Amino acid sequence: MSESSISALPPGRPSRQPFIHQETSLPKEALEWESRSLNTVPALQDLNEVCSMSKVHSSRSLLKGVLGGRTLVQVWTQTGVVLRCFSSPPVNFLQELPSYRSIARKRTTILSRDKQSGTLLKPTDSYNFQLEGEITEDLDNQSIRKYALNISEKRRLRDIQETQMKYLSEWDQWKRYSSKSWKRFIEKAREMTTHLELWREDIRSIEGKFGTGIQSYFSFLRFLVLLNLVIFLIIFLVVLLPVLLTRYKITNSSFILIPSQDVDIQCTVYPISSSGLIYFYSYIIDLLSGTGFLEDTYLFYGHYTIDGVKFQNFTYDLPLAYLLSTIAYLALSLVWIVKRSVEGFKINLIRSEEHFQSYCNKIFAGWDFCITNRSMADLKHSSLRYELREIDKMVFGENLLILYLPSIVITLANFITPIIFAKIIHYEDYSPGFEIRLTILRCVFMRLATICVLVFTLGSKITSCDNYLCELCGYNQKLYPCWETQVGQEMYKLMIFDLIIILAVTLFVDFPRKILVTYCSSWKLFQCWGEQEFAIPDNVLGIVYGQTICWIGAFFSPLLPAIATLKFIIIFYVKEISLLYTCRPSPRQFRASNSNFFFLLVLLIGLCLAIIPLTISMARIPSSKACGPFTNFNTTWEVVPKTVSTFPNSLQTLVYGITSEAFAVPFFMIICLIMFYFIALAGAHKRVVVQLREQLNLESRDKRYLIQKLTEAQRDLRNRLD
Amino acid sequence: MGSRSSHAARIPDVDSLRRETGSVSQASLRRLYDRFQALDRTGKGYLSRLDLQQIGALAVNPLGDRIIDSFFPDGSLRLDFPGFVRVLAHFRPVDEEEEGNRDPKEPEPLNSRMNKLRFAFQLYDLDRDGKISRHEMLQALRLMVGVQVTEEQLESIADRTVQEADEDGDGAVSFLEFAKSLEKMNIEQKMSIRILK
Repeated sequence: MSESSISALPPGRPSRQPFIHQETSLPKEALEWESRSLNTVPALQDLNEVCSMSKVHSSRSLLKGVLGGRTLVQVWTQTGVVLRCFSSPPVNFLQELPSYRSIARKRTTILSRDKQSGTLLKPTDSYNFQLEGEITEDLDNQSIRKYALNISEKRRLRDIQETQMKYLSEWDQWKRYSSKSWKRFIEKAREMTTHLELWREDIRSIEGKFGTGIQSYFSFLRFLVLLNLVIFLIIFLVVLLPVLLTRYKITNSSFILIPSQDVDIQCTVYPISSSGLIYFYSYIIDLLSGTGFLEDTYLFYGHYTIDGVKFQNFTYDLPLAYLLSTIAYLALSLVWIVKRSVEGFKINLIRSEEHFQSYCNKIFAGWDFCITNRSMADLKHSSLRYELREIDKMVFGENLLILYLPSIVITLANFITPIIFAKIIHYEDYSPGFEIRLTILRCVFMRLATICVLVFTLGSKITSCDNYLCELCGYNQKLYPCWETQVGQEMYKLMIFDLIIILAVTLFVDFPRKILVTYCSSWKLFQCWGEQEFAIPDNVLGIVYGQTICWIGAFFSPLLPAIATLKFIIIFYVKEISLLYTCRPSPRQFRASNSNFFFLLVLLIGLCLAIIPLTISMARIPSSKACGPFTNFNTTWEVVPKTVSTFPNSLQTLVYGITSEAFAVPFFMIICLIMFYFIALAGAHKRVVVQLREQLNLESRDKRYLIQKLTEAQRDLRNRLD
Repeated sequence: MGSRSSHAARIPDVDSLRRETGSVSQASLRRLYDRFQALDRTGKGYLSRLDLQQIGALAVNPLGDRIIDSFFPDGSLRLDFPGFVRVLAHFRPVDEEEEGNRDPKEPEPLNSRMNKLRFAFQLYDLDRDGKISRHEMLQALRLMVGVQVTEEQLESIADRTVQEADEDGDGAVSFLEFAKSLEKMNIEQKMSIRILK
C-alpha cells in the first residue's frame, strides 16, 4: 500500500508522504485524452460494470473513481513514465461517493445553526441537472442561501425561482412571500432572544473556567429565577392587582364584604397585635419571622379578607381567583419542568450511542490543545483518567431507576437509615457520575423529609384541640385564629433563614478557608484541607429545598414567589463570587447533559411533594373564619362547586358529567391505553434503530469489499499496461 | 499602509505558497511569518527542533514531540518558512462558503477534513506503515493518561480501544477505521486555529 514513486513529482515537495496526496491541476490535453481513452481501452468495459454497481454516474467521475484519480491520465500524456501511486486509493473512492459528499455538505451546513439542511449534492457537471431538478422542486421550502453552491449558481437558481413565481397564482405568490418574511422574522427574533438571555456572559465564563457540570447548576438556578418571576406575575395579576386598584382608588371599584353566617362568633375573633412603640430588636425579629408588623400586610393570606371586587360592569370573584391562581402556578410549574426535562430525556434515550467509539474519542480527541501551563495539563491528565474509568463502569449508570426505590424506602423509614447507608457505602465500585447522582438523591430525600415532617406537625396541631377533634370551628382557633397566615409565616421564616444560612456559610466558611489556605499554607493542616471544590450535590439540594418551600408557601403568602426570586438572584451572585474566588476546578468532570435532566427530575420530586400538603389544606382543613377570602366557605375548595352552581343548567350538567365516575374511569383507562401505545411505539423505534445500525454496518463492509475489488482491478490494469 | 505591502514582498514565494496551501489569506501569511521570525531567536532564517521546543503549549502537550517531528519530515534538521506554513495550513478553519465555491477539479486543500485526519493519523502511526498497531496505541495512551495508571489497566484500555475501532480484525487501526471512529467528532472545529483564517 505504501509504494510511492519519485518521478512526476514537482520539486520542492516532500517526497515520502504516504497519506497526503498533492495533485496539480490537469492540463487541457489530459482531459481530452480522458474521454477518448474510455472507449478505446477494452479492460475498462469490465470495470464499467463494477462501477455501475457502486452507483458512480458520470464518465469523468467514473474514470476518477475507477482509476484512482489523475493517475491514469498522467500515464496517457506522459507515456511510458512510471505511474505515480497514491497509496490510499480507497480513500479517494470514499471521497467520490455521493453519500460522503452529502454528509460533508450536511456537516458544514450544520455548523451554521441551520437545522433544515436537506440532502445537498455537490454539483459536479453531471449532477448539475439532477441537482437543479431537486432544488427547483424544493424551492418552496428552502431558501437558496443555504445551499452549498457558488454565487453564479445561486443567482441562476434565484432567476429560475423568480420566473417560476410569475406562473403562480396571486395566492401562491403571496403565500411564498409571507412565508419567506415570516422565516426571516423568526430568525431575527431568535437571534435577539439569545442576546436577552439573563446572565449569559457570566454563565459562559463559568463554563469556560470550571466546566459544564458547574455551569449546569447555574443555568438551573437561572431557570428557577425565571419560574418564580412568572409565578409571581400570575399571582400579582390575578390576586393583587384588583385589590391594589381598589385600595388606592385607581379605578372606581369597591370591595364586597359579606359577613359570615351560621358561624360561631368565637371563630371570627382575630387579635392582631399592633403596638405603637416597637423596640428595635423586636422589629428585627418581626422582619425575620413575619410576625408583628408584617402580619397584617399584603405578605400574608390574612390580609385578603375580601369576598369580591365590584367593578363598573362586573363583579370580580376574589376567592375563586385566589384558588385558580394557585392551581395555575402549580400546573405551569409542572408543565414547564416536564417540557424542559423532556429535551434532556430525548437525548438520553438515544444515548446508547455513546458506547459507540467512546474509547477512540477519548484517546484520539480528548486532549485540549489550548492548555499552556503545567498545572492545567496535569488536571487534564487526571480528568482523562477519570473519564476512561467512567466509560468502563458506564454499565452501572443505567441502573439508576432500579436503585431509586430503596432511597424512597430509606427516607420513609427514618430509623433504618444509618444501617443501610453504611452498607451501601461499601459498594465503592460505582462509576463516579452515578455516585454523585445517588448522593444527591439521598440528600434530597432526607431534606425534603424535614419539610414533610414540619408540614405534618403543623397540620396535626392545627386540627387538634387538646387532643380532641375540633368541633367548634373545625380547627384550633385558640392557637391559630388565622391558621393560613401562621403557615405562611412558617414558610416565610424557612425561606429567610435558608438565605441567611447560605450567606453565612459563604462568608464565614468559604472565604476564610481560602484565605487560610493561601496565606498559611505552611501549616500542614491547611495544606491537607486544601481549597474547596464546588460541591454540586449540596448546592442543587439547597435550591430544590428553597423552591419547594416557595411552592408550598405561595398559597399562604402571595408575595413569597417575589421574595424567592430575589433570594435566588442573591444566591446566584454570591455563589458565582464564591466559585470564582474560593474554588478550584475539580478533577472530576460532571457531565452536564445528563445532569440537566437529573436536576429537573429532582425538582419534579419537590413539586409533587409540595402539592400534597396544599391539596390537603385546600380540601380537608376548614378555612379560617376570621381572615382570608374563604371565610364564607367550609373549605377552600368549596368555591368551585358554588361557582359551578351559578352556571347555566346545560353547563352545570356538563361539568357534573365530566367529574362523575362514569366519565372519569373510562377516561383514565383510555389515558392508560394511550400511554401503553406510546411505550410500545418507543420500543419498536428502538428496535428499528438497532436493526438499521446493523444494516449500516453491513453496508459499509460491502462498500469496503467492493472498493478492495476495485483497487485490485486497478492494480491488474496497471500491471497489464506496464 | 505603504509599509505593509513591502513586508509582504519580503515573504519568499508568497504566491506559490498561497496556491499550494489552498488560499491562505495574505494577513494570515503575514501573521505566520511574524511568528516564524519570533520563534527564530538567533535569526538563522530557519527553525530547528530546539526553537519549536520553546513553545509552552507544545512543552506540556503529551504529543508535543511528535507534533514537532511532523514539522521535520524525513529527518531534516531545518524548517524553512514554506514548510512551516504547509504544516500549519492543516489547521486552517474550514470555511463553508469556500467549500461550496471550491472547484472540484482543484486538489483538495490542506485544511479539508480528510487531510486534517491524515495529519492526526500520522501523529499516532510512528512507523508509517499505515496502521496504528496495539503497541503504538499503548504508547499514545501512556502519554495521554500519565504515570498513575498501572500497566495492566493501560493494556486493557489499549485492547479495548483497538477492538472498538478495528473492523477487519487485523488487530490494528487503519486510516479508514481511524476516520470512521472519529466521524462523529467535529474535527473541522477541533483542529482549527482561528487566527489562520
